[in-house]
Amino acid sequence: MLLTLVFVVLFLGCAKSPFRTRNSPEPISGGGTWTPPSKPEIVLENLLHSYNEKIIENFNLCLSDTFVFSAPEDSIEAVNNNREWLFTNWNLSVEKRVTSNIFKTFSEKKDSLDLTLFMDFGSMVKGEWTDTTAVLSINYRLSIYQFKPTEQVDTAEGVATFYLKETGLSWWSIYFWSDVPKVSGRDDWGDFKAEYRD
Amino acid sequence: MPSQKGLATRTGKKKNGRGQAPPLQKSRRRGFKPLLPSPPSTLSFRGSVKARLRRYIRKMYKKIKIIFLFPFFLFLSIAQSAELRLDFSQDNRTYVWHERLSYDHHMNKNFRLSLSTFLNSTLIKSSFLTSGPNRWQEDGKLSLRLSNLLNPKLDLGTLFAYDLNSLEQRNVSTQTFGLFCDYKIFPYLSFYQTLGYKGIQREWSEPALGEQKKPDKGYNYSTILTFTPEIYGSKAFLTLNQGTERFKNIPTTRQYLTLFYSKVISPYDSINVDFQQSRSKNKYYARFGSSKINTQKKSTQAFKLFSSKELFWNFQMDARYDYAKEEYHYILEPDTIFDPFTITDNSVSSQNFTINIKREYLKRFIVEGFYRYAEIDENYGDVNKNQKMKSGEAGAKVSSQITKFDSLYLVGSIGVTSFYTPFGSVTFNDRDILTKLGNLEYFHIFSLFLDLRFQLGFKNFHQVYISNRLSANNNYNETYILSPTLNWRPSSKLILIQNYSIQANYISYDYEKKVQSPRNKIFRRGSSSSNITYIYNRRLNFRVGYLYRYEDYGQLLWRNQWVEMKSWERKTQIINLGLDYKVLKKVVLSPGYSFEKRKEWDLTTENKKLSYEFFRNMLSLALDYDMGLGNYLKFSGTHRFQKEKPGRKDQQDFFSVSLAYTF
Repeated sequence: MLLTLVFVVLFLGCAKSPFRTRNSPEPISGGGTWTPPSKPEIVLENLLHSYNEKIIENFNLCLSDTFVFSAPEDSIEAVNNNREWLFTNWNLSVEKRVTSNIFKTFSEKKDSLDLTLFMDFGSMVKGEWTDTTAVLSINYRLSIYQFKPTEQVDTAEGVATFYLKETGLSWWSIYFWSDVPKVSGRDDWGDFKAEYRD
Repeated sequence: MPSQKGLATRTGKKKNGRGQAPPLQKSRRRGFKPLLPSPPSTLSFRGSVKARLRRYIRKMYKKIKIIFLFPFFLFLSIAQSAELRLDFSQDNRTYVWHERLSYDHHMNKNFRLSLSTFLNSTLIKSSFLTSGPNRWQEDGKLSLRLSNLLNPKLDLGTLFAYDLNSLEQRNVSTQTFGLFCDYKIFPYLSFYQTLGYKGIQREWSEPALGEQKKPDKGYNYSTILTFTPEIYGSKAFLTLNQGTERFKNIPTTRQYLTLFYSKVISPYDSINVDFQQSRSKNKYYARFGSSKINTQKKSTQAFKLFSSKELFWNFQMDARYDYAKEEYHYILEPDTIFDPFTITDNSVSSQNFTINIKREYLKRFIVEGFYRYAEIDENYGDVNKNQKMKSGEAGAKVSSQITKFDSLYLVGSIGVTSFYTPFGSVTFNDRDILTKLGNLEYFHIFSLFLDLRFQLGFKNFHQVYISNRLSANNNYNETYILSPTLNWRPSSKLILIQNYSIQANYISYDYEKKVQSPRNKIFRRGSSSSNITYIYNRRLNFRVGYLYRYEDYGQLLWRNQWVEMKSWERKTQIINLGLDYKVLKKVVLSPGYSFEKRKEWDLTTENKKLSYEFFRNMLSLALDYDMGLGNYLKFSGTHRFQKEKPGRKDQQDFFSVSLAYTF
C-alpha cells in the first residue's frame, strides 16, 4: 500500500502531458536541408547538411536507436593518456550530447569560430550491401576556423565508415560509425568529438 | 562496476571503441564469425634498427604464441572448462583477426589455475582513402590467476595480467602482478583484498623528435567488502569497493558502494531496490606526447525501484522509477594548444518513471495501459550550453488469442518530448517533438499448411521549433506500412512464402503548406517478394527467391488537398538462387548466386529519362561444420561484381572464417 502511494505521488509529480506541443512563432529565416533517406547515401548527405547548418534534430534523425561510435586508433591514444573512458560506451545518447555541445559551442561563438564539414561523395566506397544493410566508406575533411583573437585553421581528415540499416518505418539510418585518420597519428573526427565529451 | 575479483586494473577494455567490430550485419548467409589463421608472412621494416628489431620480435611472438596454442590444446582437454574462439574476416582492404581463450583447471582440491587471453589484430591496407603504409593495430590481454583454497573460508593466490595496445609506432603495454586474499568472515560477509605492482610502458615515434617514452609504475591495492544477509526470504546485497593506483604522475583512486534488495511477496507482488554510488579521481595526460597533467573527479549516484503488485478487480500494476546523476569536476593545467571547447565542470542527471496496468479478460484478451516519463538535466555551468529534456508518453496494448486460429496484437502510443534551454541563452534551441505510433499484427491459421500474417503500421512525428530562427524547419513526418505475408506448405517438400508490402512517407513543412515548396515530399514504395524452398531429401534442399520493388519520390503540392508531382521513380529486381547440401552428417555446404538489377528514371524532364542503372552479380559459398554443444567451424566467401551507369565497375571479395570450441 505504501509503495502504491509512493508511485502515485511520483506519477503526479513527474507527469507531463503527452498530447500537446508548445506554440511556435513564424519563421524569420529559411529552413535546413533534409531529404527522406530512401537510399543509404542520402543519410550521409543529411548528416553533412545537419553538421554545416548545425541543426541537431536533423543530425539525430540520421542515427538509429542502436547507434555506436568507434575510433579504434584514437582509443589507443586515449589509453596512452590514461583516459581510456573517452571512447568507451559511445552510444546514441553520448553522440547526441557530444554533437549538441559542438553545435552550441560554434553557434554561441560564431563571431570567432566556424566549422565546415566536407565529404567526398565522388570517391565513396561501397562495402557489403544487401536489401536492408549497407556499408559506406567516405573521405571527409573537418575544418575549424578561428578568427579571434588570432586567425587559425585546424583540419581533421580521415575516413569514416558507416554501417547502415533500413527498417520499415524508419527508413535508412546509421547504426555503427567507425572513424580512422587519413594519416595515422593525425587529428580526425573522433579526436574532435572526444573533446566535447564529459 | 569494475571486476570484483581482480587487481584495481583498467577495466572494460573489451567493451570500448578500440578496434570494436560492429554488430554483425544481417548477412546473406547465416551469421558467420571469422577464424584466426597465422599472421601474414610479410613483415614491414621501418624506423631505427632497434625499433625494427623490437617490432620483428613482437610479430614473431604472435606467431610463436599461436604455435604454442596448438600443444596447449592437449592440456585443454583436462580442464574443468576451456573455451576457444578464433575469427578472421576480410572486407575489402580490412583484415581482422580475433582470438579469445578462457581456461579453468582445478589441479587438485585446493589449487586452481585460471587463464584468459584476448587478442584483436586489424590490418587496414593502404588505399586511395587512407594515406601512408598499411596500418596494423593490436589489442590484447593475458590474465593468469593461481589460487590456493587453504580452508573453506580462506583463498589466497597470485594474479598476473599483461595488456598490449599498439598502432604502428605507438605502443602501450601494461604489466600487473599481485597477491589476493578472499576471506569469508561469516557465510554472509566476505572480504577480498589485492595488493600488487603495475607498470605501464608507452613508446611512440615522432618525425622531429625520434623515439619517445613515457613510463609509469607504482603499486596498487583494492578492498571489496560484501555483505549478503538473508532477511525473511528476501535477497539483499551490499558491496563496498575501494581501489587505488599509486603512480607518481597519474594516480587513480576509486570507491564504489552498491546496495540491492529484492523480495517476492507472492507470484504477483514483488519489489526490487537498487542503489549505487561511486567516486573516482583520475589524473591523465592532456594530450598525446604532452607532459601536462589534468585531473578528473567523478561522482555518480544511481537509484532504481521496481514494484509489481496485484490491485483490485484483477488488475496488475508494474511500476518502475530510475534516478541517475553524474558529476565531473576538472582541474586543468594551462595549455597553449588551441581548443575552442574548454572542458568545464558539468553534471548530468536523469529520472525515468514507468507505470503499467494490465488485466486479462475472458482468458483471451490482455489489455494493458502505460505511461512513461523521462527527464534529463545537463548542466555545464554555462547558460548557453545547459539543456533540459522532458518526455511524456501514454499508450495501450491489446493482445488476444481470439480463436484457436486467430490472434491479434495492437499497440498505440502518443508522446511529447520537449527540450528547454535556459532563459538568456544565445543558442536558444527549444523544441518539441510529438510522436504518434500505431502497430497492428494479425495472424490467421487456415490449416496446418497455410497461414497469413498481416501487419499495419503508422508513425507520425511533428517537430516544432519554438525559436523563430529555426521554426521554418517545423514539419510533419508520417509513415504508413501495410504488409501481408502468406506462408504455404502444399507438400512436405515444398514451402512457399509470399509477401507484399506498401509503404508511404509524407513530409510537409508547417509554414510551407500553401506555397510550392521543394521541401514537402512524398516517398512511396511497393514490393512483392516470393521465396520457394524445395526439400529434395534429408540432405539437400533448393532455394529460389524473387523480389520486385517499385519506388517513386516527388514533391507534395497543396491543391485543396495534397497531390504529388513525381521527381523520379525506381524499379528493382533481385533473384536469389541457393542450395544447402549436407555433405556429411554435420557438414553443410551452401553455394548461392544473386543477381540484382536497378533502374531509375528522371521524371522532371518532358520525356521520362533513364538516369541511373545498376547491375550486381554475387557468387557465394559457405561451409558449416556443426560440432554440437555450441561448437562450430564456419567458412564463407563472396565474390561480388557490380556496374553502375553513371559510375564505375567494381569487383570485391569478402571472406570470413570462424571457430568456436568448448573443451
